[in-house]
Amino acid sequence: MFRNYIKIAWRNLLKNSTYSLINIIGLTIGLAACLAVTTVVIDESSYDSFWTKKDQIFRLNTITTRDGELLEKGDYALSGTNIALKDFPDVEAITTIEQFDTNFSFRNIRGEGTKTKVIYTNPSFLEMFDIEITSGNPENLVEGTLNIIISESLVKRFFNGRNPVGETIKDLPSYSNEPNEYLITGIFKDIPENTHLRGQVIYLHKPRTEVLNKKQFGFFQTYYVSLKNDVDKTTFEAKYNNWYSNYTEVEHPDKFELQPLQDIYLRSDFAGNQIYKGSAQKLYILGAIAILLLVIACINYVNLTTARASHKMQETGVRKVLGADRFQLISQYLAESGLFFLISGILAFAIYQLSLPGIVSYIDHPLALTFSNSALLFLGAIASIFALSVLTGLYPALLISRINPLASLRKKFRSNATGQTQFVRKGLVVFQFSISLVVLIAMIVVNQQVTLLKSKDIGFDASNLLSIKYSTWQNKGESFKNELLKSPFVENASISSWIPSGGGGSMNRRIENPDKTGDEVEIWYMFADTDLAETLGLEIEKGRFLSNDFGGDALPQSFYIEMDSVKKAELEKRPSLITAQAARLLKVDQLNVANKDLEVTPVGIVSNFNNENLRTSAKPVVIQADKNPDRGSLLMRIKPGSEEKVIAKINELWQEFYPYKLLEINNVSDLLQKQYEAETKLLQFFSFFSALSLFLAALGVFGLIVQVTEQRVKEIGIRKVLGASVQSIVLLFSKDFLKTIAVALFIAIPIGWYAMHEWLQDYAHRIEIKWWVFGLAASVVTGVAMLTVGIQSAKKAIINPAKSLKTE
Amino acid sequence: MIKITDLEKYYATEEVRTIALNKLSFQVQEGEFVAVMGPSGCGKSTLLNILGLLDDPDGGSFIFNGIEVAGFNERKRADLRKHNIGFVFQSFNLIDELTVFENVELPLIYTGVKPAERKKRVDEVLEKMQIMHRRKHFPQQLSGGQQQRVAVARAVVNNPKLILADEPTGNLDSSNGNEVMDLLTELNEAGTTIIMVTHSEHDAKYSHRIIRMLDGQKVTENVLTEYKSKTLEV
Repeated sequence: MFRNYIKIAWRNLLKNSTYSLINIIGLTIGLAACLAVTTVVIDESSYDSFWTKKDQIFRLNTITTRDGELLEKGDYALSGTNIALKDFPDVEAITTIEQFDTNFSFRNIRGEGTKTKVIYTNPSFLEMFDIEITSGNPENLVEGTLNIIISESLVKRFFNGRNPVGETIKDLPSYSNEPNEYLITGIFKDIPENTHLRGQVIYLHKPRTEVLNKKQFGFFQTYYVSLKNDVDKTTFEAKYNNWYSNYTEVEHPDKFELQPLQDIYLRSDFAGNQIYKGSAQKLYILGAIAILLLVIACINYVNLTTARASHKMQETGVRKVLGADRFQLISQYLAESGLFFLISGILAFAIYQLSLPGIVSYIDHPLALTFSNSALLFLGAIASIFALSVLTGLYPALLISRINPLASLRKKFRSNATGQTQFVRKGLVVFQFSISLVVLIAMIVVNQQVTLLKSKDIGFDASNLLSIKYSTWQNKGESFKNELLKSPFVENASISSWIPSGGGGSMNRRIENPDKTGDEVEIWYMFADTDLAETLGLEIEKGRFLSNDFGGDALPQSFYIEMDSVKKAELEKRPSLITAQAARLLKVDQLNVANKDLEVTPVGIVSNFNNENLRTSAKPVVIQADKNPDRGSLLMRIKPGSEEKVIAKINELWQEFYPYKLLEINNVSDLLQKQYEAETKLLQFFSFFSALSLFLAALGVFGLIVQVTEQRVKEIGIRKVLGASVQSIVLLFSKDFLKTIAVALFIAIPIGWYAMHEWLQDYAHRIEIKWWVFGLAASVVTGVAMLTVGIQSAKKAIINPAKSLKTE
Repeated sequence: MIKITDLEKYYATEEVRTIALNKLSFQVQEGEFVAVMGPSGCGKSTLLNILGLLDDPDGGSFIFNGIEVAGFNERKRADLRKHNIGFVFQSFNLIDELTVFENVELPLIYTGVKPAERKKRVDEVLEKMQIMHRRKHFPQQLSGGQQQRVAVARAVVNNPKLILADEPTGNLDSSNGNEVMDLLTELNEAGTTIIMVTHSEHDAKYSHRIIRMLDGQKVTENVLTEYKSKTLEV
């Protein structure tokens, strides 16, 4: 019997090839997209679930409140907390973790380095997190050197199969002139990628031993605590908070919270020290999208299948007359949907497999769990697709098998029941089009905003600006810069603590807004040598640029050591540049006079520029000069088209000046564009999703129009006999669908407008949503729908009426 | 075998109520061959549908094989139908996606006959209908007469007690039509009860008795051949 079902299903599939193809394409795309999105969702939610003690380990977060209101929450606690916690019998172990990247020269080649993820911690980490050591005894720290243990994959990559334990490697430092030496004291089995504690090297150090400061003051660290098996987290939190409030002498003692290890990756918006984090909210959205795609694909299957019901009627009737009971008929239609899902599922898996590299590059980190590397997930997917095929096939199966054999033999399939299904199906199409419209509107708006972000005038020319990453210059910065300026291609250069894309400035202060009492404004300060404004290409509007020709413009570093009141008073006299915006805000109309608000003496007013990014508005900026600054990035204005030559020159000079140091050269316009990576990715996502949803919605319309034209084939024939043209028949059917789209527009426009309006609120510089955005989205959707309806109804309308009348 | 008494059937639309069967009564004995004739709209097809347990009467009694079946639910009707009744339609109603063999096999699948037995019985009936050589063909590849023979084969493969034929020659030319009528006669002679709706006086002559209908009522009844039933009582 089952073989018979499959056989018939297969023949049906071949016979109605157009219908089958459309159904398979729709399902394949829906399933593949769903698999792809689900992979990301599953991977993201699997973070940190593999640690042995995952239920016992917590991160200690500090919560600062005033009068019950949250001031700050951070992923850190005061140094000394480890000593304090040790006295609690509930605590099994405690460790500190810091994460950063270091460039190691694994092959000990001068100037060569590999960017490596480092976990900086103390040996208790190894036991607490059950790190599997495959060689060495790293728990016993070797005194007098830096101890690191490295992952098996690094050993494989760099050490040619030999055991490197006991060997020393160097790094490529950003700050010191000489490389640091590290002793490899062990090898550990690779930590899976799905953790917020990604590390290829574990850099081990002794725990700090200072006692917890009673004034709630000091150095902060990120602590991870493992509680004993039977200890309740909430009880312990209360116990520790209670102890701390008695211990500290401050008026407002901080509170502490234990964040479960498995929550850290997804629920840590507040965590400033955490490098690898996801977003639970994003995950919910992605999950919803995965479900939505699947629902749309399944709706289409149902729509197309019920659209074919009239074809099935006769067959069903005969089968019923011949004694088929309802269960047998349902089984047969389920076999049919099973076959469709099987074929689409196989194709979807193939597409999924091919798109995995694309997904990885989109999310920008490797996937630990996919449907192809986990047998459990794979089986789960198969079971889900199977269940889905039953669920999806059930409605058409019930609908078709329920019809009266008599009516079906006479092809009378226009009872009230179908009126109802017609309504349901139109509703589904409205739903699909509303989604397509909302996504399309989102895509257009995001596109406009991204274009604005990338093209808006930010007050200086970012092209032909190069930068060397923030570094220490070992008192040779000035001469390095001067050597560089000897190149005919370098027009200007400045060592600066701030470069574009590097935040708002070096320091900021809030002062009372002179225009509005009770309101504060933010002023940003930038410290550089005297040449920052000119290297950026700012215009001088009044006064002069800073210059070393004026003795007092640049302060030596030594000035800041041992500050006293005399020196502080002198700081106010310090010559500075201010932006036009700062001048206007603080009503500076006289230069060379100390300004009390800014605590500087403006000597020049420069043109405004955007000091941060276009999410925020440009803030008033003060630029001050240091003599021969020893820390900072090097910013260079070069001649157009000379980038390669300048980079070669920098490399040459760097070898001479800093042979052991890390050199990283960037194009400033690249750095600026990178700030909008999130928006660019969002745009990619919406483009992809809108194309997909539009395509699937078009399939939905196709299903509906196929059924409608088939049902009304006699009507078409009669109309043609009576003189109707093909166009008038196409118009007849199009009108109906225009109404459906109108309803979708009515739903989608307010939703789309509201969602995008809210999204744009995050940007100080934002586009205005114009009416044509909705017009464009509506035209695209209407166009797609009308094309689908037009082609199908024209196909029916050109049939010779004698033939269409006979078929009834 | 069949006894209907005061059978009624209405079709109602919003405005009009049409009487399709108006207190119709007659009996058919086992082994009889009865033709039902009458102009279009007289209720012939409605009668056949009710007799075939495809439709439910609105009033009256319908005793099939000694059991009152008026008011049976769909499941009971289906069960009775698949074991006892074979259908032959004017438009054949073969399933296009199935081969000749598979079309004929279908009733056996639905009555749960094992595959080996099915093959035997289908081959047997195809042999008898002289379409064995066409067993792998699909309906569209056959002539009308051949299609109707397949339909008859399908109707009899389950050895039903009753065959209901709705204008079985309506879509056939005369020579093909005669062939089908000969087939039905053979079946009848072998003991199958046949009730046939027809417009053709020619075809009606193959039967034992002609019932003529008008406006849902029996008008006349002509006995062509006296039929001696083995079981006189219903």
